[in-house]
Amino acid sequence: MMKRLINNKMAVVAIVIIALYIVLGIAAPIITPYHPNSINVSNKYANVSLQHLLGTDHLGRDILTRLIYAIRPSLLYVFVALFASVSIGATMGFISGYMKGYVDVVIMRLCDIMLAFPSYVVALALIALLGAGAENIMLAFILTRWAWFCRVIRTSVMQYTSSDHVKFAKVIGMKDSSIIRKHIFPLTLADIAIIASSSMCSMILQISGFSFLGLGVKAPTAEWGMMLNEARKVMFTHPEMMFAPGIAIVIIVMSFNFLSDALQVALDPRIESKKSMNPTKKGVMTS
Amino acid sequence: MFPLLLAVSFITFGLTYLTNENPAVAILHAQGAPNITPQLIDEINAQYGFNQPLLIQYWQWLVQAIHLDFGTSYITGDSVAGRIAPAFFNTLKLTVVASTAIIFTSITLGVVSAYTAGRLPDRIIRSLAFFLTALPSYWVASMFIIYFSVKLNLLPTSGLNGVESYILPVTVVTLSYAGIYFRNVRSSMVEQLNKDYVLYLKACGVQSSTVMLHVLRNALQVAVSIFCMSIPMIMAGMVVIEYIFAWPGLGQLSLKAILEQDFPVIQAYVLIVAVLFIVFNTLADVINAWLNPRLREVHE
Amino acid sequence: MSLLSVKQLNITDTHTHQQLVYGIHFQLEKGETLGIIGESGSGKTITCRAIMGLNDPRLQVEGQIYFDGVDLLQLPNQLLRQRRGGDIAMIMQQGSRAFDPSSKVGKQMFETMVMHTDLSKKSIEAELIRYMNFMKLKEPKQILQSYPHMLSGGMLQRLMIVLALALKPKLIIADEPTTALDTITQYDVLEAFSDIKKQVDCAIIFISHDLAVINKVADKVMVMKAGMCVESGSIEAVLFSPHHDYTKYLLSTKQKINHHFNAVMRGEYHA
Repeated sequence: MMKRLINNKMAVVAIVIIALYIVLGIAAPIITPYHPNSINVSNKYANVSLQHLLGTDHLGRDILTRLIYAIRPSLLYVFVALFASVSIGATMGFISGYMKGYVDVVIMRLCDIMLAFPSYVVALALIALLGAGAENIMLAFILTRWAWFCRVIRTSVMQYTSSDHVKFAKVIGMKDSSIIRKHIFPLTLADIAIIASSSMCSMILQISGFSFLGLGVKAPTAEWGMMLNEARKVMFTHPEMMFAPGIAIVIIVMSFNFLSDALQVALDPRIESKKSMNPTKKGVMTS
Repeated sequence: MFPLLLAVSFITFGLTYLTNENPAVAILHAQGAPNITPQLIDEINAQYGFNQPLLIQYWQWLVQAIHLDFGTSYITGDSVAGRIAPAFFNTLKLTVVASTAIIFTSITLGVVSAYTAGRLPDRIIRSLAFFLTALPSYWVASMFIIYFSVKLNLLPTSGLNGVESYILPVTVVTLSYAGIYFRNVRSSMVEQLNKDYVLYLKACGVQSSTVMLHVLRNALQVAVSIFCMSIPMIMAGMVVIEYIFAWPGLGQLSLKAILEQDFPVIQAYVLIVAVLFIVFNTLADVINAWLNPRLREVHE
Repeated sequence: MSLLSVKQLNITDTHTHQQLVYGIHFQLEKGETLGIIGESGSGKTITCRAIMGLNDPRLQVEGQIYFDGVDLLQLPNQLLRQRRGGDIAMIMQQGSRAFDPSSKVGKQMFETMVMHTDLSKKSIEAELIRYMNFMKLKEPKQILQSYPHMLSGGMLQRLMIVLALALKPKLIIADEPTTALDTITQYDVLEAFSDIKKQVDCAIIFISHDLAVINKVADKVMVMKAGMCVESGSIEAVLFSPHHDYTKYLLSTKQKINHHFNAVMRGEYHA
């Protein structure tokens, strides 16, 4: 599967961009020339220059620095939330799919209830009830998304446990945990990867959306949605403030979208060849 | 359906109760009381019934809610229902218009894309849709306002003043959602177009418009229920759009309530959205059964 | 002049650059039945779809197909569509998949009839019921009001034949109509085809991979293998004194099966 992925040029570009964002985010203090919150009001709305590659905002803070620091809450925290919901979902899914029976039914009912509502609405409600703040948003994300992973992984596990090589492993006496680790885990990883990457898109958009509304990170934290909120206040006098954060968001979301699509195709190469098979399959020889 | 509603309303109320450490204090703050004494707190508690056990409070709230009385706002002191009603209708108006536009656009794009599958129009549409789904709606909205309202002075920047006010918000919402739903329509259509009955219909020599009607009827079955389920989602997502366009709707109202921690309003908002969601889901199932004769048999 | 004259038909897949059909050449007179035999993938179906112009656009068709003196391959789609159904009718293999699952069967048949005839609604219904009785379909009115999933594959197959007859075409193309049916229904459908031959004056192209079926209905035969016509001629000529090795092979394997079957039935083997 990895080979097919690498063959797809767009996917490679996407992975490179994502990696770049991650590296920049982690290394933010080292590579940025300024402090994201250093205010210098006399230098506000400075134009693009060698000193300030993207100019400064309404408080004289360097935009590029803030943009890079913004990767942390917008992207890295989201990764943490994703990791948590994948872990919870995966654990529940494995237990559910492997144990079957009563445990399975209970967990599935729980998943059904959680999945009955869209993540945005539940997140909004949770923020409403628990108050604004980035931590609450993360909590909301984890609470709303684990069920999806749980369901998918349970299906994968059930599919693969009924496959022959796992039955054989059981027969020769492999421990349950080893079976899960060696046989089932690698195969479900692919399914997880696809859902995770498309989840990233919606989570990044949602967290910046919530910050934009003032429900997310608190000022003066740098975050793309927050930066757009500040830019909006001066929208009519300085519209160019809106460009940088917006474009930063679009690029990373599109990259994750590409990655998700590419993973889907790489995982199921039949999708590509099915297209070529269809018109000719009805009674025509294929050499 | 009803057990779910009950569960949701209880969770909403329960969470509020758990997180709301001292609602009396919040109310007093909002009322601007200079000195918060235990006496005042007791008075407020008695007035609002905060001393009673959770279940009784919940029951009272629920009974009132069914009568569409959501209590009084902590902040402004007047009836929550009175404030919610006009806001709700404003949001409803926008949602209905936007949903219609989204459905229309998705179906048109989906059909065109499916009929030209693999060729240039299809590829253009798909790339465009891909790009559009990555754009944050509030960003697009702001851009539009800057360009159309300010620079060109064509459309109003905010508020609800007549038909022109609808144009920008509806366009932004359509751009955000059409890209997603068009994909469903397209894949349904492509799946149907490859089926045998389409070939047979063509072999019978009927008009291509007749063929398309047959295909649409099958392809849209799944799409219709997805659309139906998406209407409450669009409504909830209006929060951002209403904020930007200063649209006097439910989203704006609840945003204020969230920031001010005005719990009765928040509770009412969450309950309304949950109810709408459940209702529309059920409606989607009903529509699906009506359109697909095979499903009807199961119920009979 | 022949009713249908196919000359030098070549079909190529433009995506894989593979040639699927090489130089097919045959003629069909009014009232004649041509049987096309071949295994799966021999090109029988796309040859016949080419006559109706129903191939996927990526299949490039070259050659000449003269129907009633007009080269169908040169016709614009609009004129070709008028001939479909009215002049050339098609019967497909899988009856259960041939009808729109969301529409009543009668509705689809009505639409086709309305397209090609000027009859009133009542007359159309009467015509359809007449042919449904001919095809031994019980309770025709109820069938017309049913959805496809309520009817069996055999019934739907017969409905396709009913529609084909009601349109009174000059040519009926039947693409393996009996392959998906059980033996008893197969027999009924084949009987129907024999009746059609006797009573209705239309040409039939009958595709199958079953020699016995072809033997029963066809006047002449064309054997196809890997996109080429390996042998053609009258039934007696091809089936009883075949020239080409492939035809001989088909016949011999069929004979072997029959032989074995008869031997088992006679009790010579412990099957």
